[in-house]
Amino acid sequence: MAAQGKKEHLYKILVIGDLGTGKTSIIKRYVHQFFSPHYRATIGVDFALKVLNWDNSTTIRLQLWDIAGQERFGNMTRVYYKEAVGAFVVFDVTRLSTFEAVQMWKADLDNKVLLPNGKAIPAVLLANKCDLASEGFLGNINQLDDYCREKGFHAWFETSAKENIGIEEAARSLVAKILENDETIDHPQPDGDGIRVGEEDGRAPKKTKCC
Amino acid sequence: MWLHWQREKELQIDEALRSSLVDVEALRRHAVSMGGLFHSDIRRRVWPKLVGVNMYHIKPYEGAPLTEHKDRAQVLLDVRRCSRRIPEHYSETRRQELQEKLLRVILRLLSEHPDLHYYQGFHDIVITFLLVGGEDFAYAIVNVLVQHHIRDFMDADMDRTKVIICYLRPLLRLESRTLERFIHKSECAYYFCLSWLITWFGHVVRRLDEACRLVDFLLASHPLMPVYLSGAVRENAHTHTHTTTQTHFKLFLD
Repeated sequence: MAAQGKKEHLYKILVIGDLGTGKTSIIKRYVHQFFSPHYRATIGVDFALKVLNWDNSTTIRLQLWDIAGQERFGNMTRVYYKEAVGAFVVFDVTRLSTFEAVQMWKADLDNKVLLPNGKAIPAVLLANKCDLASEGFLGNINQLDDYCREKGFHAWFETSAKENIGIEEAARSLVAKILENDETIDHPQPDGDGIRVGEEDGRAPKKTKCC
Repeated sequence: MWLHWQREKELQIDEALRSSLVDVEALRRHAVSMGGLFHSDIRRRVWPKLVGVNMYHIKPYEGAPLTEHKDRAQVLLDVRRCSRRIPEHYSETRRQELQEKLLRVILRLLSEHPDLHYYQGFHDIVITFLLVGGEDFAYAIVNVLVQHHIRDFMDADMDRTKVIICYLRPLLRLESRTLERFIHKSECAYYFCLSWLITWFGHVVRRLDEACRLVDFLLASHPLMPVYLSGAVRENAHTHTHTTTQTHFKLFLD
């Protein structure tokens, strides 16, 4: 239970993108401060939990849902999009096809999950493997600013799970946006500790948290 | 040094293999009973019999060059990420060779069965056979599996796989009404066991002997046995401390 006066939030965040772009590596780096070149392919879905002491009065639990990249799993893994409040969309700067797939992933996301106020959930674009950028196809990475505006991304970051670049910053940016949404969207708080499990919350059918 | 029961079992398996008509029923019983087939030498002899493969008649590959296969890039990405399945004592050269063989076996199977579709996790099944008996051995046995045991997972989509996953629910209801209700309410469906089914648990066990013991059992059983096994794993998840599958459950149970 939360200490007195301390706010706790539980946020569900999706990590999506083509296969082999480094979704699992980013999560492991962020949660365990660790990189291995030997992660296995994700089958279906995996989870990780990161606890953030956001400020003196706020603790945030981020549930990171690592969604398999292979398209054939798509119609299964979409059930996991439910109630997500933020997303990372990942591409690999050394493979153009993974960048081309970004808009498919973003459109799919907006199609499957919305905030309680009907708006798209905030998504941050991650240009991963930036340590290999010399092999990259993005001549001027700053053109991503325009791209993000056009496609409705909240922000983008160059990241490297291997070299530990950009991931903390990207997560902070996404969490800040989620907190901002949380404060502006009018939804009933179910209880004092701020963890919304959907039980008494009128907008969702009765259910428990699923992990 | 083998234990007494292992020596006994090996004698009986020898006998079953030597009889003029191989006693497949006896081999099945040994594969399922305690300890399974317990050694690579025995597995190399018995696994082919369990699926009716003649190891002396493996036809050489004559299809289109594997370097041009349409799934090559995808398979390569997964094969490169299978290193946790390779025994630690393998040298770097040996690892690379093994990964090349894995890629070849998978592409050869896909080329010979153009109606089948590769899925992530298929490589987790193939690698167990490759580690136990080599390239031709893996090809010959998995060539049977893709037409029978795991055929449904290789459709163009996963609709039939979803149906198979749904079989877990009534099983779980019999085992634990509370958990069945809990999972149903969570609306997460039963997809948490997807990787268990489509990789024959190869995705979640760490050691080769564990993967092999599972193969002993599953080769000797009905193709739907992985569903029953998933139900049984759940039962054990409360008490077992060493399985990685438990971490999946923990997330659902916590």
